[in-house]
Amino acid sequence: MKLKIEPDRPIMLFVRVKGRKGVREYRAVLDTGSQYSVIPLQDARELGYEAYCDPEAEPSSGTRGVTKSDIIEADEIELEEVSVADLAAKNVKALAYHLPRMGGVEATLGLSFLKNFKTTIDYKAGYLTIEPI
Amino acid sequence: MELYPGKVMTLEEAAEKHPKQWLGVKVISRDKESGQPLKVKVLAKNVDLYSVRRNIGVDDVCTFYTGPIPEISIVLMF
Repeated sequence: MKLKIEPDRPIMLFVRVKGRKGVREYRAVLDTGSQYSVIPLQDARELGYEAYCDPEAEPSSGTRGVTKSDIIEADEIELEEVSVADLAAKNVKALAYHLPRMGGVEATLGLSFLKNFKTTIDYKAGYLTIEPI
Repeated sequence: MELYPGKVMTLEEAAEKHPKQWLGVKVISRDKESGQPLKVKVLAKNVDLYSVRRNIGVDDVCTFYTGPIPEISIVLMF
């Protein structure tokens, strides 16, 4: 999989997430600094994952995650399958969490997906490539 | 919330036609090299993502924001 990228811009790519109740696709941010991937809480539930942690309604009930600016609580789930183009990874660990709406981003693709592949970010050539190991 | 049987258009055309909104689309075709959506059919649009989500089915729907990312001067790092 080879995708054109631009310097000084977040690397965004469409990612498909499969659950027992269906498939959803998001434009996600590639996040090489994140242990887990993130999908929206509501979608996690609708796709059939057990994600009940709602920090606003029930504090201290989920897995804690550290971001640059905050400590969040969210359910840790294992996604049945995550795919980009024809590259698919099974049993991908993720957090079910609503990212801030104003960011324009719903999901992140973290190391829990990338560890299954060889990933190259080549800013000189202007491409991100993800290949099978 | 607007729901309609949208015509097939490129991702860029969809973003240009519906700026700074969340779109729920059906992917019609993909780029062979990157696997990214090329042509889509817009199923729903709204400035509120959750309004879009409430009105589209679970299965095989693609959602994305058509505005600049990040929308404001923030850096996303998780």
